Amino acid sequence: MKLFWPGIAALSLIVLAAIIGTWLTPYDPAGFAVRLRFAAPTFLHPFGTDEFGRDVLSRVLSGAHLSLLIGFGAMLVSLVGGVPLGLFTAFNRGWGGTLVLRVADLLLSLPPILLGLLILAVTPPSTLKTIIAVGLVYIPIMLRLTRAVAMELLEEDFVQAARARGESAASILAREILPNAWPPIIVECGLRVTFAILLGSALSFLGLGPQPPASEWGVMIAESREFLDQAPWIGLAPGLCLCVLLVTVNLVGEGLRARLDPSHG
Amino acid sequence: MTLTRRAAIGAAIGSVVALPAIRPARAASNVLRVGIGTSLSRLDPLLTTIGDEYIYDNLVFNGLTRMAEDLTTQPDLAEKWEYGTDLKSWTFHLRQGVKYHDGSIMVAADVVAMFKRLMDPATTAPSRSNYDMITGVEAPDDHTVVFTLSYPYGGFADIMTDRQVKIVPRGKVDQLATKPIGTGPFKFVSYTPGDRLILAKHTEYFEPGMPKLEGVELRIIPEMSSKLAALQSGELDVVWDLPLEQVKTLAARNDLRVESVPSGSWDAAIMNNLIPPFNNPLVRAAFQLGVDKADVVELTLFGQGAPTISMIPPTHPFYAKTVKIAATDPAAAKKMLAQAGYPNGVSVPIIVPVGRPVRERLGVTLQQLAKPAGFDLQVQRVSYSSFDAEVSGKAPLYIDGYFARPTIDTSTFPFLHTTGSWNSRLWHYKNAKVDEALAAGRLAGDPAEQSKHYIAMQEALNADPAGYIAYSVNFACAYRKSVTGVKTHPMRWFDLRTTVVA
Repeated sequence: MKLFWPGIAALSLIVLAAIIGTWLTPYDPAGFAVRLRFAAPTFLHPFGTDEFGRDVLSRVLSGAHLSLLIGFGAMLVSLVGGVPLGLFTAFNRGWGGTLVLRVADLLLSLPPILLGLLILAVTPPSTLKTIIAVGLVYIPIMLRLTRAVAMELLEEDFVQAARARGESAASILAREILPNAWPPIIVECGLRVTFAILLGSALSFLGLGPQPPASEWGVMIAESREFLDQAPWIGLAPGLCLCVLLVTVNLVGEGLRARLDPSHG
Repeated sequence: MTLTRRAAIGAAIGSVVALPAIRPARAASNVLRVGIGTSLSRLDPLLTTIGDEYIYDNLVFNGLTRMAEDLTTQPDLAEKWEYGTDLKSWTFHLRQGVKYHDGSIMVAADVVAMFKRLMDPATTAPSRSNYDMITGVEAPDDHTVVFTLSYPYGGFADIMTDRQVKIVPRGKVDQLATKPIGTGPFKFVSYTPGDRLILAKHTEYFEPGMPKLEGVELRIIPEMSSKLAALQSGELDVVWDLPLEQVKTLAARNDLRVESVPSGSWDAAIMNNLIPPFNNPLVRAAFQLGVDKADVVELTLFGQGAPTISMIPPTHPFYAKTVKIAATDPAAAKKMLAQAGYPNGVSVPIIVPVGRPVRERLGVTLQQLAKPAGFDLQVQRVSYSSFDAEVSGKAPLYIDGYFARPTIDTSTFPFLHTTGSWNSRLWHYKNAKVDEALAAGRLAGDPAEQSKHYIAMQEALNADPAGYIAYSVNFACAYRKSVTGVKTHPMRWFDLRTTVVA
């Protein structure tokens, strides 16, 4: 809980690095340097160089925006898809709501990576599609959460009162339910970003994300495998960065939970 | 019940734990231990399909002819051979008194039976189509075999060197899968899938004084790092098929000898000659002019390969050393593109196969190196299993490659001739001069004349490239210094007749 502000600070720093990082390093992240291949970390190349002599630090920095984009983008997709559907199923107890719920349950029963693969494998890969695929995987989770919160709220006295006043469903949703449902949803969003970054990297590792020479971290880890005993720094750098980013996002997520969730601490 | 089960489990665990301890570090003197990657799935040579199996094929069996490390065809079970002037009738004279591992004598009827089995579609031999010119095979006596062909074929003695066409006793075909018998320098002892294949010296081998080893063990270790650790600790004597990025690192060790030899295996950027932009010969020529093959070899193969014009590797006697290859000039390439109607350059995706690290690296290399020449390539990784259905012969530009084939005809004709079976699945290339040279090379029986045609083919191909044939890849093995008398074979198998482990 006390780590919320340090988390925010670190996350801002990472976002900043992702935006301006490539201007700070003197190397082209895709530029070859044959004579510098497999150079161990030095002052000039803090993370060493890879099999083409490309500067690993520049590559990690130029790939940071992809991981952030996939993480936050997928969270947004699941938010935009999941929340309205969740509210709909909370209100509609007829066959429409049931149908949506059953489909969501079906998707929930599939392992996320398999579902992601399924969505990506049928068409040529791109960053945007990774974002959408990961987001779709998390829609059912967002839906379930929103539905649970909304159903709880529907029983509350102030909602009953609004109903008694004869307010329309849309008005009840907008004025009574949503403002009170936001805190748990925002907390869940923080967690989803972590999982989305991880799932995005895993899919990229399998070849279904951004394409080389883009330096998405999952792609970098996949490419470094062959050189693990020769040049471990090529895979270590993106791995460490991924680790730090996930911890940071998690700290922020936990902090949000402590601040917004009344049932917590 | 409980007790016996516990005892059984205990015994099982005990044996697993105890096994490595009981086995001495050096099993027996003068036994060569070779680390390979994959379990053999077939022991019948006619049905083998992978490199690991071909090693076994060449140790346990002999063919009519064999291919030496310098890619020349030499006598094996056949001492000599001759062909009719029409190249449609080939007579092989067999060595006499060659003994199988069970002591019986090899005769011409065994050869006839083997080829009848090969040609029978029910056998489903993967190499059958390479021998579709055979219409008849007969044995006039015990040491003569006569083949009749449907069309003239100059390389007929060469294709007898191939991996699968090995002579086995005609009465013992049904035991090939379990207890194979051949005439080779080593005989089959036992095979445990996932662990090892054990071979012992064939004491009555037909070449006197050979083999020098007491036995050979093919150890199956899929993980390359475990294989290298075993080699460095002395658990293995040889590691087969070294990853190319390891060659320089391992060569620096003074207890190891690393050999990296040019092979006929090649990779290329396949360009579809039917659809824009590569339907324009100038665009293909511009790519060749703009991207330096020597740089590609250095970046993609860590120098373990050689630039080439066609599939014929620079080490082969038929390689066209006389062809003048223009110096790389991206500016001139750009001009050529403008001339071809692309003044702003060409932008096209380049598809690379996932899980083939060398070819993936080739894609990324070309993406960078072709930029100054006006080619804006976007790398797309596609799983190799969907290559056949979605990429081969359809995509404008993609990376693929093929393993060495036993003869120059089988490695060039299918890929470059207008009617070639692979041409229609790759680039749809059409060049009258290339067609003419390939057809003439196939009909020539004499190596000097064959050479002339294949050099003409390479000249025509260099002037009008089908795609970007980047290089022929090296094949590398690592040996402990105690191993002598073995050369690394470009066809990825081993000839261990004169090998010794000190």
